[in-house]
Amino acid sequence: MSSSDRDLFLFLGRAFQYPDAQVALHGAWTLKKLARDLGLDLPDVPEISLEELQTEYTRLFINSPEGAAAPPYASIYRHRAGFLYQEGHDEALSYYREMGFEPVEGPEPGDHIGFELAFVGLLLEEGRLDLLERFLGGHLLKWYPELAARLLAARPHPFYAALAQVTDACLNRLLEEVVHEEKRVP
Amino acid sequence: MKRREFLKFSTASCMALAAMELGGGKAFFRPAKAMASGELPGSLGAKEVYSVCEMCFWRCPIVAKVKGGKLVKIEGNPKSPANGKRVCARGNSGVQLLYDPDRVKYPMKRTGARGEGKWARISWDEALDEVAYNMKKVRKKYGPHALAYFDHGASAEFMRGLFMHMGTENYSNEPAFFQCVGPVAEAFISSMGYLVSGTRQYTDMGHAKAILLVGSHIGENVHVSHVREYIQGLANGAKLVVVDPRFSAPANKADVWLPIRPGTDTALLLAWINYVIQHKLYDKDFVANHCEGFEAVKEGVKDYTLEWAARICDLKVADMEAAIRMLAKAAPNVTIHPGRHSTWYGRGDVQRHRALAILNGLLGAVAVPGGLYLPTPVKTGKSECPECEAEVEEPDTSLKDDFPYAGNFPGNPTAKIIEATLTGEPYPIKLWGVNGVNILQTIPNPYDTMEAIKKLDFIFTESMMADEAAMWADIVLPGATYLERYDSLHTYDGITPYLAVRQPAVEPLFESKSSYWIARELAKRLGVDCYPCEHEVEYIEEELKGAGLTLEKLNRMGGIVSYKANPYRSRKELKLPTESGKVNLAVAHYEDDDFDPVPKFEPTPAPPKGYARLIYGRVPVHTFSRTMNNLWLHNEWPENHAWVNDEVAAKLGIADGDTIVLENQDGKRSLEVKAKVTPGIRPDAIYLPHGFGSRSKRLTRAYGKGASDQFLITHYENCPFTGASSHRTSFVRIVKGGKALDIPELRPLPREIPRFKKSA
Repeated sequence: MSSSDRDLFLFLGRAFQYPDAQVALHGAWTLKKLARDLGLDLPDVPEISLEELQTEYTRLFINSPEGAAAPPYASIYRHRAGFLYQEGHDEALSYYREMGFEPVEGPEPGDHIGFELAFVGLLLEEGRLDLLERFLGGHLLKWYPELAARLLAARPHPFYAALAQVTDACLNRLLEEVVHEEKRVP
Repeated sequence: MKRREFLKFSTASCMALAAMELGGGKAFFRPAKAMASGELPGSLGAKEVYSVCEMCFWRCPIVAKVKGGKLVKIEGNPKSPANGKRVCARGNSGVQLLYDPDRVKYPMKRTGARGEGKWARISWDEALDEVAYNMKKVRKKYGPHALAYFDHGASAEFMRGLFMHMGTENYSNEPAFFQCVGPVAEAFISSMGYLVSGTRQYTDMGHAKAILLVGSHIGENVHVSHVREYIQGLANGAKLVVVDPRFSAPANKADVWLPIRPGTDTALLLAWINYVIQHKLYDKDFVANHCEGFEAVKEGVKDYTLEWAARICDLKVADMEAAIRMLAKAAPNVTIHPGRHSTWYGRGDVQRHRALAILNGLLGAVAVPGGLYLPTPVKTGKSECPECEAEVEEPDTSLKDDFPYAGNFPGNPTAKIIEATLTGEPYPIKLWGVNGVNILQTIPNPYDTMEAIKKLDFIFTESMMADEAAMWADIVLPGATYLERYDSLHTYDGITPYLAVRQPAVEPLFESKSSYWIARELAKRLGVDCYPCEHEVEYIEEELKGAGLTLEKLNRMGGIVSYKANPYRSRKELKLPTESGKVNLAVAHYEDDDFDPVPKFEPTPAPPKGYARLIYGRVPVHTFSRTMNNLWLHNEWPENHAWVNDEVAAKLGIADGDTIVLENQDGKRSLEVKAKVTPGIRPDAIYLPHGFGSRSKRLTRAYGKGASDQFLITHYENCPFTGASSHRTSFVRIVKGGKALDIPELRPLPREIPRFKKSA
């Protein structure tokens, strides 16, 4: 069973949520190891206190003087007008439903990047490669790159820069491999 | 199916992942419930939730359409006798307020310097503990009046009770009174005995044969039922007289438009009063039987001729005469509109509205179709649950002391609170709570307001959107929007009385909470014995019981119950709620406080040489400074334009659409704004629609779009009756290409009107 694939995406999903002590403690170290495995050349993540990490998260994803740099919701990117709970949200939920899932919403909407990454992990665990390929190509990778671009443009703390890049590399490599796998297995 | 690992990871990575408690995805997903199939498009098949709008404070009954837990559309409640199935652009756009990504989503605490905008999300417990701790600490150290609360709207009411309970006299510093209706409210309470114009205006425009608007620009400011009544009146042939230095939307519909010199309205009104008396155009029977003080008025206005007013007001005698004849001919079925926003010039504001009240009395336009009318109260039950009032003990020196009529209104003159916060005199103010009001875009001289904030020990806001005020706060509490919460019953006592109730269309998003919940939680921490009901529905049911209703029954009836209005009285039965039961044409008790029982013309200082008076107003798709970031409304009206007279523009070399900056008499400059060059404004005034030019980067759409009138209003005077702050006593010139250009004086000033001097 591919529990490490699942756990990888559960970890990424978790790291995109509001940071708690555990993420602050283990997050940077985990990202560093993953980046090395993925062949990414990322700068070291300097130590950061939980409050600093939370302040940075708030700036990037919740509210900041410039508006949140990278609101982490599909709806923002999948809807021309960029507001919450629109088509991107419906789209995410329809994929979850195909799997027989519904998101445990509240306080965050189900199209939060955390849910979507966790969903990837669960699809891997269940071996639902057909659905995974559609979910990545038809939904997640249609908006994640813009989220990552906005995030990196906001000069984030290296922790979030690493998270964005590791996630990007994982998703793209996964898509490649899944497409390959689908073609190989008749 | 064969399984394999896609992403090959090192043992180190696997160990790192294993060190985290990841819970196998249960925190994210659960098995889905079965879904209904065959969904209809758009808002078809949506659940309908009856509620009450709060995109502005007029509060139209609405129907919220909800599908799959999402609000998809808002319509007017077709059963509403006021707005019917109509809502305005703002009413429609509530969907956008709810789903705006710039909403305040979580309680936040400041982690950087004050005003820097560095935040961390915190828990509700931490946020509320922090607020309660600071309120108690400041109260203990400096006394109860060191707490001040700035508030507006339904979301603010519960927390207001807490501030009262803490004992401060600064509990309700509503922009509604001290920045808006204070002077007109006072003028009509003293003249007619009731609040003819406050939150509501009891004017029967729908049945009027003539309507007078002085500075009111109905249609640019929109209350749906009012606009409908006004249009109904016009459609039935009502004549319209509009007094406004600007060719406003109603000026466009007027039979007579009087482009008056700003600051001289009282001169025109007094001359009209004199004309009505001299030409015996007044309602003799009404004056004899229902008015007090006619002789005093007659004597007091005898020197104010139309010729005199023509010179003061820069108007033509013939136009003024035609207008007053038109109004008098329609009497008593004439709406002499009292106006609403009345904090214009400070000194003369109450007397200007007193003059309007006198005209109403002389023309007998009281409790008759087309005139002022009497409210029809809607009877409901009372619950103690949402009440948290307490007797506030005034301090030895109160901020109200200089203003004998401020006591008619809750709270204290806002300008005095800012002053006390800045100077510590007459007592220190060290903590502000802000709820439902953007104090920097509402109160004159925001520069003082910002300085005052720096002196505070603590400031918190309850906010829906991260506006300028939130940016300065130490703690920001996310308030639920009107679409996510219950509020107390809404009763309308106007010409179409009804009862409706605000109900949530959807659950509060993120961690936003209803204002009742927030106040209740804070009350517990403050040890204040208020708000015992666990949930709003408990007290709503109690209130409904008194009207013979339950929530369930009200919803079955379509969310609204209408009542028969009783707005008019026969002459025989008319008894106004004044002491004498009559209209006070002269207000005798004003003499006790050295005010004139009959208004006199007191000139408002004219612009200094090289400047024009800054005037402002509204655009129909925005509310105050609250909606500029709303996507749909922003799309309709993203920025304001500065109206510049065409002759002035020609002399200065400014073309329509040019980018300019406005600079006021204190050298404060606006953000860039486009000029609208038009003959529709006098050469001695420049007009800016209010609420634009946001300085909060958090409002990602509104930020920096257009110019803020508020940030140019640095000079204000206080109304001597109420303490309200004036908003039309600042002056601007134009800066183009970095060069300041003096405004040429195209309308010579009569010698009776002094010029504004900075030291004055």
